[in-house]
Amino acid sequence: MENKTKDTVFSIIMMLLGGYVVIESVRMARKAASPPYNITTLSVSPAFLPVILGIALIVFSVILLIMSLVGEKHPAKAFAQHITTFSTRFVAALQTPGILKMIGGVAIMAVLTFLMMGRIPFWIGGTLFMFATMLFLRATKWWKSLLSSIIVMAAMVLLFQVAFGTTLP
Amino acid sequence: MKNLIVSLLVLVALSGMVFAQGGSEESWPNKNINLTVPYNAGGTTDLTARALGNGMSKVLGVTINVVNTPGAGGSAGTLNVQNAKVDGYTMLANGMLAFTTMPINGYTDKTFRDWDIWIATYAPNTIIVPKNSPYNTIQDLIEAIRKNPGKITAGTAGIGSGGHFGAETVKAIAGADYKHITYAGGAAAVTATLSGEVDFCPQLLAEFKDLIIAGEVKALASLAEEDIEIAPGVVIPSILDTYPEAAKFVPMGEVTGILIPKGLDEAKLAKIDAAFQSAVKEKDFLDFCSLKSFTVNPMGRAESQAYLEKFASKACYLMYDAGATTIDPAKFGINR
Amino acid sequence: MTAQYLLNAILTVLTPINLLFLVLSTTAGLMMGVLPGLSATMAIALLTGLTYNFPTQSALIALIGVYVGSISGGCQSAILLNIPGTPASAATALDGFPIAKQGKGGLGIFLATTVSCLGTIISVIFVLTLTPMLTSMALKFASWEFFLLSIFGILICGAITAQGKAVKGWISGILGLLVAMIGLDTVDTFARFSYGNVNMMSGIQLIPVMIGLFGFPEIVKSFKGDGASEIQKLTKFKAREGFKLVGKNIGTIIRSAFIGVGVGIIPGVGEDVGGWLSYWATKSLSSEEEKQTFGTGNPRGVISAETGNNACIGGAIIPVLSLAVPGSAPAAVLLAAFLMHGYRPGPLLMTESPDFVYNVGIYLVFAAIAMWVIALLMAKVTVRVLRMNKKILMPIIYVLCIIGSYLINYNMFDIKVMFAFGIVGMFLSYMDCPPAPFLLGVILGPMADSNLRRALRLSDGSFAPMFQRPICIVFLIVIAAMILSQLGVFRQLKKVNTRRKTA
Repeated sequence: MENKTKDTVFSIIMMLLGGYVVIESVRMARKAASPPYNITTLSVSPAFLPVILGIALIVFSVILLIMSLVGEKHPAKAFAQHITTFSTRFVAALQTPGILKMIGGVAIMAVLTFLMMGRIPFWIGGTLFMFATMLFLRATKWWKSLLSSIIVMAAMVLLFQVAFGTTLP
Repeated sequence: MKNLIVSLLVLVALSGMVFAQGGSEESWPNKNINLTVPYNAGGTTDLTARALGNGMSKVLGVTINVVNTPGAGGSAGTLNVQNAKVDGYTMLANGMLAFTTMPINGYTDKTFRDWDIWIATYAPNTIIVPKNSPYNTIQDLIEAIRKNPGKITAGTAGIGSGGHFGAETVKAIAGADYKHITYAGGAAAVTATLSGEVDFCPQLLAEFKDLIIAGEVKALASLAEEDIEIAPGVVIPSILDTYPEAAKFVPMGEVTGILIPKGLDEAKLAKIDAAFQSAVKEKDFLDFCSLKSFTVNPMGRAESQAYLEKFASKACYLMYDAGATTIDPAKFGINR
Repeated sequence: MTAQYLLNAILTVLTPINLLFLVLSTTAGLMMGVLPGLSATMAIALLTGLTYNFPTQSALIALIGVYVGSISGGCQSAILLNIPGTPASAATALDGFPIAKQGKGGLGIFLATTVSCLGTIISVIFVLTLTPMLTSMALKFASWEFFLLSIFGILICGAITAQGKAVKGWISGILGLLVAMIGLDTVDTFARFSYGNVNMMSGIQLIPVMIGLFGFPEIVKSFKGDGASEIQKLTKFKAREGFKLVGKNIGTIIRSAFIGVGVGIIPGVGEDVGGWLSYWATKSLSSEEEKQTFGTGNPRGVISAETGNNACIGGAIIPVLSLAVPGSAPAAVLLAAFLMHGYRPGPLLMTESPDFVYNVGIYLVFAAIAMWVIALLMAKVTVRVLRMNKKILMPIIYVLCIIGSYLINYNMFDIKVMFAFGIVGMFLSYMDCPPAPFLLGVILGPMADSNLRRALRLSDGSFAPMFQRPICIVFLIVIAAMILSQLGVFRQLKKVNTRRKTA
């Protein structure tokens, strides 16, 4: 039951994505048919495989959808049921403490990835990140977290910059 | 307690390293230099860059790391260097065919005049065919192209690659078009020639020299000005032997060198000049070049610019006249 | 003559300095393999620079050691953390991680390491005996075959990983192929799905995608647990049990090695595909009952995947030696290194330096043995990872993931790509959609696309040649059979038939 619910939603999302890919590929084929490329035959156009992939994505999603509804007496009703079950479960999951912790962790990771990288030296950013994440997760005592972050970062710098001779971000 | 002492020691070592790196500007270079190669490791540009970088690092006293950033026909890596800070720690090694035609292919508005360039080697295009091919001379091939325009297939490493220029030269001589089949790299194009998937391959001599000597492929002609003897008794005729009118296109081939965007101060440039001049005389480098049949043809900055004026005009107009691009080279001040 | 060359090569390895190089480089290779994101290709590329000024033979030993080490090291993180250390070990994680979950991490690593060693050695036998013949076979592969092979690989991977629902695995594979379409295409340098962004034009790099898809979800998943319960039990492993398992599966090992060598020889297809194909062969040849146990910790899964990917090493070196055409990405870097040290692999090799082939073969054997010893020693430390507090471990792994993504091209954009595909990986994992076909799609996408279009251009847009080439027809039949059987068409037909008979 659980699986079929997920399959239903997954197939809908993939169908939409497939549709987008097909539209984008058709646009691509038009662009390729005009100068400077002048590729008018679809089979040698750069858009050829994307079109096929988009269609294949739609076809496979439809098969998946049919598989998740097959055997139901009222496929339409079952479909609606799957969608509502999925959304209520999804919303409910968002409120459990475990998931909130995951989201928090991802947020810290995002801060490191998008805001710190390239702006401040890697070894500062990396150490700060490890320390912050360990604190946030209450992994261990704060001074232990700090110490292990620093030691690990020092080891990484030694390994990559000194031993392997590479440049870090 | 033991853990604490160890970690403190590491910290001290770490901070020492950080300070060592942030040394003064005066003593350039004081950290490793990255030499970007905009192609995969193992290609001819990559090997040349590594051999050259090794020689230069001996004079400069720091390691030169080769960084491979393949993608978009070499323009991805080139643009990376173009956009990086000009501090002498980021250099580019590139083939001049793809490099000088970047503006007319719409990748950038900067031309070779915006760079300081040191040219090191020249490698001629050579036209090879599979060993069981019906074509035994360059004349056979050109006649076949004339008889079946758009049917004879040429395998190259892609648009703007050395092989593409070779194929365009053949087209200009034949006055008729070929069918362009592109591969992911020179090696793949050569493999396709071995298996007979394409009719001919106009890549660089260095990429299949041994295959010619071993008789796995037949060499019809080189686009150099003179015949080349690659092994005792194995001579590749120049295309001029059969088609003297091709003189305005040859020598055609890849010219490889080191590049830095303009803006580096003269003191640092002079250091690079010295390192370059010494590197092209290194025995390792010369051995490598003779192994690969590269002509060592070192040129300093001023000489390279003068050479590239002519070279870029030839390369850009070959592409433009062939209809491979719609951007007029004249827009960038490149004249016929 | 041959014996002389072999003896010389063995004596060369056994000098103290070369043994030291062998041990050091294999250890470095293993470490790079274990760390997610540091691939074999990169390990060899880094070492090529470092060995520039070494004596030639020492440099060769070091390079081969690092190659063998890095391909084999990937299995440890795949088994212990479900994060493949290299793309080649993604198939290993499928059964390896469940084995570790059962507390038998030590056994899993022992098996993987032992068969890696055996796989490499078997492939060497091929290198030394069959190089010329196998090379001509590799040349039978032209554009159509490459295209069908890549599609075949993705379909297999989808069918294996989706646990009965192959369609989902295939959707995942298509998504991967679509990601591979991003950027300037290799045929016309036409920008696809790149929205005018220069970074996207140069394409999506494989390693950040891999780290994102596999590493990221594991990291984030560890955040939600309460820490203490996450620590897995670790039963002491007995070597005798391991050897017994290896002995019992010797047939599987030899078959997987054959497949691995075959895949390795084909230019451009490498270690990553070798593991999947061997796994598939083992699974489809086993009994109906046993098929159910694949993916839940069947040791034969680990054995076939690891033998397959390591046997590719020898296979990939074969065309390097005979044609100077590399059989896989790491072998391409190896070729560059050979050239730099003054060797010219290719058709002239046997006349110019006939000892070279034997040197390479013997070095591979020694590297495999060294790898076996060192990896098992390392495993004594690495299995403890299972006992570590995941909340300390995982932040550290994320920092390693960032380094791994960055070092591919020294490009900040790749770190962001890693994060983005991390989110995609979370989505797929929530939807119970396997990430492995996605990864294989990204790996094989460029090959599928450029070869299909090249083939069509050669044939002026006609599909006819696909049905005229013998290897293609075999591929087409197998592909069709697989799609139909996975969708249950045969079962349906049978049902219809029996119904008709009874009616």
